[in-house]
Amino acid sequence: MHSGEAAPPFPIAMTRPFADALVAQLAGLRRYAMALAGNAALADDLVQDCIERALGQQAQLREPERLAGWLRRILYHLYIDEIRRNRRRGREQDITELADHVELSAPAPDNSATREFIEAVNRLSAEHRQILLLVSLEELSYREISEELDIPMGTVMSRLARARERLRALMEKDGAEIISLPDRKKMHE
Amino acid sequence: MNSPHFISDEDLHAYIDGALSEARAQLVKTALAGNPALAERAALFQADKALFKTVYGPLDQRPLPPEWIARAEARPRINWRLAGAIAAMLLVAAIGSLTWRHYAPAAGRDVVETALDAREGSGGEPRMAADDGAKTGGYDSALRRTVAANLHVPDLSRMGYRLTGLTLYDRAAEIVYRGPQDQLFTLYVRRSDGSARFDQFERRGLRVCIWQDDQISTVMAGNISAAVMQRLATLSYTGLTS
Repeated sequence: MHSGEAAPPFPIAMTRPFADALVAQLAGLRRYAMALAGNAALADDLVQDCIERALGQQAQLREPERLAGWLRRILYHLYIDEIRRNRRRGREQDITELADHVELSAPAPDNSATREFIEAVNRLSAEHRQILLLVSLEELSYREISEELDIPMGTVMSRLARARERLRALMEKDGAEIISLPDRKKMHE
Repeated sequence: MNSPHFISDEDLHAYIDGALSEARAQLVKTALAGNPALAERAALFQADKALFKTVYGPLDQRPLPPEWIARAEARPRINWRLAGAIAAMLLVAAIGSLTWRHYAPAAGRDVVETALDAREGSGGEPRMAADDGAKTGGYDSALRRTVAANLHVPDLSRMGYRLTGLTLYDRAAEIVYRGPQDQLFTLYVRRSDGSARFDQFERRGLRVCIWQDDQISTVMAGNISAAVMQRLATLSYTGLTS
């Protein structure tokens, strides 16, 4: 996947092609960030940090056609860092906030079902959310996911199966592992 | 496990995602047809999958903050502190490189081959001819300046070899002598790569001796016997470094 010593495709003096390609990816990247983080404000922060990191590390992108996957990887690592930081500080993220955004911006036929779905997705582990988004939202093939996450195909399949089972369990309100929602009123106070 | 209708979770999800081979997909299809509970479960998974697109799909239609686009299209920000540090490092590296080039030999090519090429190139004719003994001091300083080491032009007259001149190269020198029967003896010297080496052998029809310490490399060559080379080499090396 990664060619070893190839010349950087976008040297500093030729930032324009990279800039154009990056801008073209931003809408999709933001959508991915919102679905992954389950929080619009956090997603925007992640995308902004991702832009900075991508600009700083553009020489490391060996295959320009894989820019979208490269950006998603950067963003995912930023998100994991953010989760760890918040855990150390004892902060909790409002996982219901995105449901409000989605209801406002794209009303679904059944708003309460949409809200339940988003809240169930937000209760999944980041790893499960990531693989579900890659296959269901980004519509990547198992092979593409395997390359993007740098894991074997078998792991992609088993992780995806577990993620879907877990999501179904959460949707059916099944299982003692369901984490109780934070009090929304308190969180908005 | 061996039931024709058994399918693994992985196969079921791969079937939902259209990632199975045709034969395997047909197997799952048959299993679903014969198992309504499994078929219902598969339908729920399919519905969940579709929800991702329905719920999150439109999020990419939201207008992007203009500052993101401006930032992406802007030239890379210059971190002046970092730029200063890099400039300082480059300056130090340049000075270091110049110093190294001045005091160190040209690495890479074997010194013996270089010395023999020099001998053949000059044909043993020195660029600085030795007119008389009074110039020896001038040779010493030229040798030191060129090789950047505290060296002296050896006096081999005890063995009947007279100094005839000196050829200067880039950070190397060839000292030229003529023996009692006018035979040519050359002493090539440059700074060492730091390793020690001593050897005597035949090369290009000549008797060659390399004597190298951590400071200088010397290559002596002449149409002489091994025993004579041994004595000349000893006299040359001690004379050079005395």
